[in-house]
Amino acid sequence: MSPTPTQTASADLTTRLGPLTLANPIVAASGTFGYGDEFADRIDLSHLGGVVTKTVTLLPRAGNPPHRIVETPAGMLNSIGLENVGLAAFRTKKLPRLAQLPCAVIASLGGETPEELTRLVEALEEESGLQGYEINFSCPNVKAGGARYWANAKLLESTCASLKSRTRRSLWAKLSPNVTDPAEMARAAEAGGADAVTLVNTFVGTAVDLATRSFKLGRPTGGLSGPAIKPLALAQVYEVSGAVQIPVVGMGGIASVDDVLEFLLVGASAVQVGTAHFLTPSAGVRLAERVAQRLSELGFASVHAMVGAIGRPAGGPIAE
Amino acid sequence: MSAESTLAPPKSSWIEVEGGVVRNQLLPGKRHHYAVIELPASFPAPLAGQFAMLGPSPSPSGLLLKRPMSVARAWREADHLYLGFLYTVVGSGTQALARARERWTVLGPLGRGFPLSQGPRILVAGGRGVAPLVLLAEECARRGEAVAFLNGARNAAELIAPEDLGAGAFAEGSVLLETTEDGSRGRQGRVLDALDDPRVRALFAKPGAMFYSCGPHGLLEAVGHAARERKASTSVALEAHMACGTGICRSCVIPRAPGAPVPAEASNTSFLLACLDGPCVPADTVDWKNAP
Repeated sequence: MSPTPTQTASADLTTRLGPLTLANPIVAASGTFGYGDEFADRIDLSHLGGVVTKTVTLLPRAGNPPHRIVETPAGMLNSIGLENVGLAAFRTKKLPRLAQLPCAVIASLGGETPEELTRLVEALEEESGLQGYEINFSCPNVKAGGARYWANAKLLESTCASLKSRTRRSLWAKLSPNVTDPAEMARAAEAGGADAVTLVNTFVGTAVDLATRSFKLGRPTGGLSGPAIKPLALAQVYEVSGAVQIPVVGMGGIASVDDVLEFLLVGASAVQVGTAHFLTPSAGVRLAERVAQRLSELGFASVHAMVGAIGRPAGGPIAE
Repeated sequence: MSAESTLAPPKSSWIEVEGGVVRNQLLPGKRHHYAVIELPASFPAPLAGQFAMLGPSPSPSGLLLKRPMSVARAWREADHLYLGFLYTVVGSGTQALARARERWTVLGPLGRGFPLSQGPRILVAGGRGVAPLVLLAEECARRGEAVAFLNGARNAAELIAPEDLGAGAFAEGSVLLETTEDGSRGRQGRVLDALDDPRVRALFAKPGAMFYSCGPHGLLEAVGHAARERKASTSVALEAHMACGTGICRSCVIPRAPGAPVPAEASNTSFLLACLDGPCVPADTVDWKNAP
């Protein structure tokens, strides 16, 4: 079957992530869109499939010392260190506003132990206004409870199982790309009952100031994001989506609508837009507005038809 | 400039627009560039001390983030708002801006500007930190209120006078003093040496004197000391590495001074966020020893 491009923008954009169906596959990534409500009065968030909040921890965190960012070729390094207001302020000050948003709201949760994550989920289960949780198993910028701690398949599986038993909301595991075998971590999350895996978080990197013989960031290393990592991210999404049955939420350097579709093609069921929001807060919304048109131009009737369709003609089965 | 500065500047309300580059060149004989961008009239007039995030349009491949710059001048003419920006080419971002001769993307105005005191105003500029103080001086001139303008730099090529940016005359009674460290223009020495000028010293005999400063953080710290000795208040414009300018990226943190009061609405009790809590803050709220 040959592609039959149409010029209509009537493609079905919905995408399913376990118990949650998103209106479209574009989600604002954690840490790049505030708690989710900051731009709600000037950007129409109904265009987004969803937003993932800044990572919330049990107690407030001040974050890392400056400098916290440095731009690198086609990318940026950050070392924020999970600065956030903590669970109590998130519940009282942020959640009431998030519940009003016209898109899905996913709370990003971070913990130094499985028990901390359990307590976060148990507390937030008492609240309305959330459609899911994305567990941040992959922060590269904290001493405890970061990507190294969670790069342990058994721990990941048992933690996902513990969290899944406490919620009927969609549970996503956000994974680190800084492991030897990302598919092994994704399979562990799946075995634990996660509804989706999100990848990639940032790649560990650094930048050096020759003149002062020092690191450019306040800590020796940070996490690299932006268009520079897109080829690395696409490869990991492709590998992982072939290794698990649960959906993959793909991300890493997405800056254009074609970047979105490339991630779908290699197997992502939804994507997250991150660093592009720093350049312009409407980045995700602008991409979302163009997805239907571009899908139709490429001959796909739905997001679903495009997911994992790499190597196949549009709309048809794998050509023999 | 039509915006009213107030004692308690409101939180910024930004928009993002494209603007035409009216001029964008190295100032003759100087090390700094000056750009004037023509924006739609809907762009909110900035308060002195506020800043904008600036990027070339279209963005060249490989460049990711906009760059923060204080507004140096702002005026309305016909159906447009014109903003002036003073900058130095120091890296890839400012180099791309220097090359963008047609359009810039402007996101702003951002941050908290200088609060206007009722007493004498002493403006202290270090190098290209003169930029927001030119806008403040123009605001004072519009109100017919005199200022002391202490303008210091390493040398004549680094020193930018308000008239280099086309700014008008100060209000009657104003004092303008220039210093350079090498003596190539104005008095030789550091900018705070000019505080011993009798016309400036006389200002501190009046109630409510306030320092306004922008420049290297070492200067801002010194302004804090000078103000404490003279029982004057301060508002200093912070500089920080910044990805977004809108409070989202949490990059532009400056440590708070130990024991400094933390407002109830503060999002972080350990750090000031230059983009939202500042850039203009009282000097004694900053832990200068640990500031970047």
